[in-house]
Amino acid sequence: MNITVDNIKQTMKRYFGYEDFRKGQKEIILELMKGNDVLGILPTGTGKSLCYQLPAFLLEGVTVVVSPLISLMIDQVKQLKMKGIKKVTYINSLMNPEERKRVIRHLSHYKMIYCSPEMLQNRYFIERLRELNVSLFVVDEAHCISQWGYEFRTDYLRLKHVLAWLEHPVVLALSATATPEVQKDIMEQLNRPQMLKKIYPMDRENIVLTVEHYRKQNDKLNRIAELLRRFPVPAMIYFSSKKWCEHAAARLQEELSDLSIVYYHGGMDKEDRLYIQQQFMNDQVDVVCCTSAFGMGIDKDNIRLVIHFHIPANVESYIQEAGRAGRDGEASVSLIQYTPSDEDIPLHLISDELPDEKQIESAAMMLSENYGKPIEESFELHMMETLQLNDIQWGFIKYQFECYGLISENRITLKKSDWKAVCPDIWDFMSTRMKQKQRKLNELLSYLEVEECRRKRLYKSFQNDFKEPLYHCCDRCGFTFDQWNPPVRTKVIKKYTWEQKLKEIFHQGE
Amino acid sequence: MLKTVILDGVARLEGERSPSAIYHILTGKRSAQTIQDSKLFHLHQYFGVLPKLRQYSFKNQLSDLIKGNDVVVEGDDMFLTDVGRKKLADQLNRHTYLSALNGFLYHESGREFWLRLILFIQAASNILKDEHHFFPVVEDPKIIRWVKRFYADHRSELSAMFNEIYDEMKVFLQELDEYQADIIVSRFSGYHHYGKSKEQIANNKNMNTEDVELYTQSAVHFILREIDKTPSAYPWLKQFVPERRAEGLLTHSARETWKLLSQEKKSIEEIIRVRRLKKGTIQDHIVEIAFADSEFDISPFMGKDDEKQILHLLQTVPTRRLKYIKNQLPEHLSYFQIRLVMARYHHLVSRKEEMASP
Repeated sequence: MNITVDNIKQTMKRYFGYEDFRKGQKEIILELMKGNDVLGILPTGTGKSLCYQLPAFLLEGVTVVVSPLISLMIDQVKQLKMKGIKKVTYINSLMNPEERKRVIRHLSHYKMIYCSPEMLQNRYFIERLRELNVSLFVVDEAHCISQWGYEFRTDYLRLKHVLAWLEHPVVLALSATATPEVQKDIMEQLNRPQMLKKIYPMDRENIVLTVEHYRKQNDKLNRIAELLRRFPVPAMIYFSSKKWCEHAAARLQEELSDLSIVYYHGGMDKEDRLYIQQQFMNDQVDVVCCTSAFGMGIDKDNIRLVIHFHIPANVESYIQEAGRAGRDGEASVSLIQYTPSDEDIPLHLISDELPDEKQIESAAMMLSENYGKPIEESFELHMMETLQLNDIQWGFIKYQFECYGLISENRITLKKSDWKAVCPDIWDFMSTRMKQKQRKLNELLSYLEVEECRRKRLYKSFQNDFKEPLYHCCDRCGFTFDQWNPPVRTKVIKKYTWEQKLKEIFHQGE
Repeated sequence: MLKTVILDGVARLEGERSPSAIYHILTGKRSAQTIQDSKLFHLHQYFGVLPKLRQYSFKNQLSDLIKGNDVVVEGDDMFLTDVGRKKLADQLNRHTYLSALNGFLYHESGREFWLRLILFIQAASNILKDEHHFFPVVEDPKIIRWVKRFYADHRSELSAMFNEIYDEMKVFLQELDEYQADIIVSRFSGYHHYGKSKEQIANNKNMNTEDVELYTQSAVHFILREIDKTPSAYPWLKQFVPERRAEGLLTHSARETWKLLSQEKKSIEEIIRVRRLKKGTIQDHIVEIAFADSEFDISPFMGKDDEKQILHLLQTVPTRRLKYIKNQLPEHLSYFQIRLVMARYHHLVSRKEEMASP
């Protein structure tokens, strides 16, 4: 295809209103237009999505975007529609069947289709996609392949079959954080060893890194209250449990009545989550106490402070979450709070994600007794209940069995005699996964304890060097909060009667 | 408040039904049994007002009431204690807004009305400030399509219309008490302003999200009733009311049966053959239809004397337990016939009530 940088720029201006490319965008788009597969690693907040949204309009045919979270695809589609780009849609398993059918029936009307990896296992949907010309296949947040694919989102590992079905469209895998190890895994799992790597440094020169140690959990909350009193800035505080989220939000709100503090986690109503997210983006809310469910797709540029009340599970998650601070380039701080034995929580989460050997063995036996039968939902539920498996663990077992041909086309093809042959392999794989995760956690723990410059250590496994920090570097290099002077927006909290609120919304008496 | 509603449910169903009957009414379960229960025991105002109520939230509330010695549950039976009865009377007096609920009539149209309204207010408030980029607070594509259409139809008069909607809205809100009006307005979004979520309001006001929903629903049902009474007084807001159909409350399957029965004039036996269903199922449908449609003619299913005899008994016995009633009647009268007369009787009573109320 004969397309010049000028053509691309024109289209960009017309659809998105941007004059110039940001770092990495031009390079990635040009490769895609030439028909090359690309693995793009760009730090959060640098306009990753434009890398496929723009080609989607330049290329003939349809672009399919695989997105890990439903809220994320809804956001993206809404934002595109807000820009006046209408030929986009999303489709996922939570939509009501009527709407879903409507979208699938009109599939050919769209230039871009967002969907979940699970949806791509839906026969009807994939058949309809096959009838269209899918020219670009995008895996957004591609590290999910590696991070989630093996346990609970095993459909991520089935994407390679989807690609074959769709007759091998051009592939773009995008992520904000992927170590060389994860990069390799992504390429292998997509079965695209020849992907061009476009890796951009992920260090953020305006984010200060700091870690504090305390004795008790309560000390952490007191410290947060103290910091927010001193720096009433837009902030996110990460917790690893819903309960803590709610508890902390209530306590902090009680102490800091001048700020608006809310919580956000995956257990909330869809509608409630949407409101909170929009209030935060709109600066109506100052502080969000959240779990990792909050964040992907949050495009707020003035977050000044990201606190980890509980430690993240690995360095990649940490870089992603901390990277939500200071997208506007202003001096921002990332603080990790640590009390002794905090690592127990992520350790526990890790072991919860994998079944134990006995459970796998019993599962194999139960399946072999039902040789030849299809796997129905009621059977799965019965199995999970009898063997005390959660859905993540069962997903893992099922996928492993599929890999070894013990389940095929959702029918049990496992004989007792086969099991003996494969079980050592599966157990090996499991202990490898477990060790991998523990190693990742240890990597983070050792980051907390590091004596030298934190920047140096944090980005070590991703890139060779990093940019000179713009304001301050890290606590190890001498940063204390006394040196921080973030812009503070003085806000008057208005206590309105309902009549006044109504007038304001309806623009009365102006 | 949800607790008050549950207490009211227990009071009306005591000795007759188990607690799950209340749950099904609140969530608006589309079953013949639930639709009939809500009518028979005068709980139709609560029908479907909390479609998303979780089983465990309901159980938690109920067990609070049991612990507080307001309610006693024994096996499938439940009763109100004297303490509970006093509490109920007291709370119904305090939460008068509950009396505006009319779930049976408005639970579906009310929800749609509300979503159309909040999305339109958000859109108009933004567009009038020349802000065309806002994040819609309603995701339902059906609602979005409606609002877009409505906007397109009135684009040229948007500003004037918005002012008039303000006036119409204000009239309603002034009729509510301050507390409830505040909840409703807090939920509105507009130009550079996102409303409070249910959970936020619940936390601020120290109540459950279900309570917030009850306050909202009751305000909406109140508005809908007023619009129904004098549509000409609300030229704009009446356009937000979705069309209602009488068969709205029927289960899908019963709707099919209704079509065959009323439009194609088929007999029960013919319907059984066409639909390949059991006789009992078709009879269930017919009873359901009789409850939903106050004009439904039951005379093809029994003689006038039989009807009179059952009606007489219904007027005298204090229970709605079918088995008991059946035992009091001659052998030849079937459960099916008794249930049909119950439906008739129900409509007669409610008509009387309507005449008695102002």
